[in-house]
Amino acid sequence: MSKHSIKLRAQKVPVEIKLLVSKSLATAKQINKILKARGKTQRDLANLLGKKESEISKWLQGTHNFTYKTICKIEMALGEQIIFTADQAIQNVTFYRAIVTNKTSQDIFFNNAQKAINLNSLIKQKLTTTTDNLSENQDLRKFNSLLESCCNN
Amino acid sequence: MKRKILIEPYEEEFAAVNYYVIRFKDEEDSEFDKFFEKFDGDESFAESFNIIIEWLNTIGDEGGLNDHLRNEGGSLKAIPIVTSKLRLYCFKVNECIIILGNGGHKPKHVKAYQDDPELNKYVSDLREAGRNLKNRIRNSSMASIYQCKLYGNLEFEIETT
Repeated sequence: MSKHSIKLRAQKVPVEIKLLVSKSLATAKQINKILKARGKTQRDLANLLGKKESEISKWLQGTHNFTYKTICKIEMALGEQIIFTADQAIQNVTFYRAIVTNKTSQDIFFNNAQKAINLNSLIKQKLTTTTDNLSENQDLRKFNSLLESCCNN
Repeated sequence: MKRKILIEPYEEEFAAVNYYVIRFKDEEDSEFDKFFEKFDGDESFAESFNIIIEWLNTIGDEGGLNDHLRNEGGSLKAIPIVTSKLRLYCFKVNECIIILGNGGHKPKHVKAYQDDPELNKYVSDLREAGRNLKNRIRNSSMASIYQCKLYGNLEFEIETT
């Protein structure tokens, strides 16, 4: 019989450590998920980033202390966003809420889907910091606030 | 020197992973208990120890033994705290069973556990216990795995220093 309890001890773990572990795992899981969905391997990602496969493997174990620079490079290589801010997540929720609650939302759905595709294309085209991207984001933001008011009504 | 070692279920149940520990038959504490006692409350290892505990707690409930363990060779793994001062060694039996061993401080100048006599002993004992278990499951009906749990005779005699 073990004398110590992992669950009890985990209750004393500081919140910042809990967040660190949770976010690290979530990031690694998300990258793994995208790789699987696209039929790519860790070696493919290593080649795309010019890194050794062993390094990528360590990253994907969930303990790597990613910098934003590395995250951006991975997003560029995979052509997909990995980390979303709370604001971006709300936009996604709004997007799906519109589909469920608003019967006249079919046009909105396709319009917004097109925006999302455009954003993904921009990442693929490696234009993440251009003014085009910025205005596209602003468009989407404006669009979503309209959508939000539409749903609330 | 030959010693008898037991593989025992860890007391707590988790949703996705069953943890086991190793204990020498002539001792009261498991190797994981020793690790816990050595580092819990030691301020110089507080962050590393907290990360290991949170990791065990999270992986226990969410799973991820296939992806989120540091490879140390074959079934031998470590809680992959690459930036940590501590290592906890584990033996992965399958995707939902893992045996927790002992661990310790791995200073930066120590490249691999083989370079540190203490870490090397922990790994060697754990690996021997794990190998014996796998052989017994493979070659006899004395031990088996059913629904993510180990059954049968889980006592082994291993060569240790």
